[in-house]
Amino acid sequence: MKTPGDIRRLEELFSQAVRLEGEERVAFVAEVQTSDPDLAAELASLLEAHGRDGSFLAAPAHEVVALAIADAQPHFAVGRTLGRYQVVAPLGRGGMGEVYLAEDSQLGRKVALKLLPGRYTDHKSRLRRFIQEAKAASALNHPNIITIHEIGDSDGTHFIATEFIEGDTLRRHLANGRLAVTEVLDIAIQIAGAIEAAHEAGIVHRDIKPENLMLRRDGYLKVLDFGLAKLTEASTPPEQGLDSQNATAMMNGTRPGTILGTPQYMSPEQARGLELDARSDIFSIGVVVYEMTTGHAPFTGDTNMDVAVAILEKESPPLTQFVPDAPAELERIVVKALQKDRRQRYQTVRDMLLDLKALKEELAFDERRVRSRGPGTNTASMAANVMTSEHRPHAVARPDHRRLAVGLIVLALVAALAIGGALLWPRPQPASVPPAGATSAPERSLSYWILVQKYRDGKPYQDPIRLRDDINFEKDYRLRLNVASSQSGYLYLLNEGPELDGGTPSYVVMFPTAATDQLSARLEGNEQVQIPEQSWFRFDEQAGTEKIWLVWADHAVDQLEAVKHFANPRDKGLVADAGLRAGIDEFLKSNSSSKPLVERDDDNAETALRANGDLLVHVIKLSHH
Amino acid sequence: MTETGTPPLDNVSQLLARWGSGDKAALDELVPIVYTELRRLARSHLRRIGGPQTLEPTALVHEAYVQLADQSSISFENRAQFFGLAAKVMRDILVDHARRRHAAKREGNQLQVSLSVADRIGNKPAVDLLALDLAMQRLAETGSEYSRVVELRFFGGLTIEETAEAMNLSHATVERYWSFARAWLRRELGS
Repeated sequence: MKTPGDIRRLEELFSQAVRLEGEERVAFVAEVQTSDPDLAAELASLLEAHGRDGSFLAAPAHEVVALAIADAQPHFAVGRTLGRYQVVAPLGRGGMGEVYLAEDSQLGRKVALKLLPGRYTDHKSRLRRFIQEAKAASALNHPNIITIHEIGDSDGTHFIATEFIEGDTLRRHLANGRLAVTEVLDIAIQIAGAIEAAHEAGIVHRDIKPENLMLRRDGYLKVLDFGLAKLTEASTPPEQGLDSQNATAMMNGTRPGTILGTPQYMSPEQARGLELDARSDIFSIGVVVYEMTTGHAPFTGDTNMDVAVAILEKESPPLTQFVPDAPAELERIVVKALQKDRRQRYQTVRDMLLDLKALKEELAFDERRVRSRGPGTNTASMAANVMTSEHRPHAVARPDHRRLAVGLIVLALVAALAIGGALLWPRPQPASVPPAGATSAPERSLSYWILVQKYRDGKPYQDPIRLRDDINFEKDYRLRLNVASSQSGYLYLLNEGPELDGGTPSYVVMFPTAATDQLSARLEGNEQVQIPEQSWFRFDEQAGTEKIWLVWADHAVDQLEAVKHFANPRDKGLVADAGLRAGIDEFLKSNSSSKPLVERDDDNAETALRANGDLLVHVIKLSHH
Repeated sequence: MTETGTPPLDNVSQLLARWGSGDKAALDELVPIVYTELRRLARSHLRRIGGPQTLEPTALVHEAYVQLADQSSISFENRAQFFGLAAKVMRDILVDHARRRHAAKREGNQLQVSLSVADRIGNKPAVDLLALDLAMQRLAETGSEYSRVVELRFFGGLTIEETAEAMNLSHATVERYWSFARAWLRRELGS
């Protein structure tokens, strides 16, 4: 045991020795050695340590200091009373303040208390806007939106008291790794449901991220912090785009109009500091869905600036790169939500919600089918899934066309007349479809494309154009579906409508049509069908997704042959018989699990389908807003 | 009618003065105030600068001082005291952080969000703070002034000059102590 005197002596010797060089220093230590060998040994070890390379303690622990401090447990508020709330324990830190478990002394219930730092509450009008919005969201009484009990202040400390949720943030939940697709959908549907309700009330969240999504133990999800982003944004959003100065300012957080913290969930327009609308939230939901599926965010980088650049410029790697069995439909949904140009994105979160729900039901159906090896009884239903074609007189058969068809699309409940025509003519085999019959294994191939007539104010404008089927159509667009194949076979097209009583969806026969020779589904090789021939399909007023089943078989399909006679002017394609509907349903869903290979050719907006076997079943989804 | 508490800004100087004149209770009141202020500043720095890389603890301590101290009535001794106090608080925070981080790793728990952020940034402290803290405690048992220099310099981010001011020592002495303490701790840590 050394005494203070010993260490002082040691320090004095050390200080003398370090001023000496080489042999002088050696001699100095040797001299100490003669009088006090222990001290000399210690001195030598200190000189050795002193002489090592490196920068031991040279610079203060800059790197860790700020994070460590920011992370330190905020325990000073514990025991404090704010208004009628007694702070019990820290719960964690939100994006914008500490969160505590507190007890409401009046009502004797637990609440979560978030303290808002003064720098966010100094701006009175901003604070007022935030309070207004947060309360409005809470007032929606949506099961997936957190309930706010009170927004108040006590001795200048602003706080928000909300329901206390026992559970984890999605961030914490994701710390265990990526989620199964079914769970991804469960959570995504709840997020989208909450955000949809908020958007309908005119509230944009602006800061959707895993930290703001709370998962209750029973699986319920709650979206937190509505309106909170309002506190940090500018009162007048800047109009200029991203230049380096802006970007730097943004990353420094000095620029109003941007959310502070990680940019990973920001939309491109948010990263640019532009004015936001509901579509910004759609992008953020897309990022969260991507992260839940793959375990990491789609846009990453070492610095916030790198992340922002990725958001603005890079395409996210496909889900299947990380999750090989991710459903193609989920990929499509994510891609559509993550479009850089918000005009290309889902236009409403409702559209996204419908797709998510449809996919969930599809997967649940597949699951049930696999389990029971029998037909599903409670089949998928599509909301707002009604397509009407324009009311137009029957297409007149033209002599130079071998066949004529009339497509009849009907609403289930609203009586809207729909008559169209389908025109068939020979067409060369599309290049993207490999010739059939080249190999011994049977294969079905076909391609289709959508011809769109833009309409504004009830009038067509521009020439019709081809568009990919996976965009979000405007509701005023009119369309025709074109189908072609080098093969001969039997083609059936059915529009799936809302669920009717009995649990099966309604089905409308789109092809064959009454104008087809004796309602024949038979096509010769290299025939092309245009449905309808002269009129156009029109979307229902309500936004949603049309589901069109396409069946391409090398033989006549009994269940579908049995219903094609409904494609007459009286029934307008609507399959009126419940038993026959169940038959269709069973057939479609039991054959939809082996998905055809889908190839989209961007140049001419054509989609090529290919499936092994003698039957190809595919759903064309046309979403519109 | 509710009575509003005295804002911290008004009484930091008084607390420092009381602490300076030997009132240990004043320290108990001071630590939370300094702690809260440092944390607040650290966070706002993190947000403003976008990362911890550019944050100088010394800037933090100075800013905390400016924010907290009532400039008109603060004495020269107060200022030095304040730096010393801030360094002490900073050390507590850092070591506590390292301890929790260590515990989280040992238990195989997933790290807290902010910690994983730290990991992603590749933000590894150059030194094992827990081991350093223990070594500093051992050093302080026989030579508290050496340990104190490290606390001020390394944890408080103070310059030699400021450290000299805070400890009421000469510039040369601080340099000597600093050099010795570093060698001593380095030997102990084997780094």
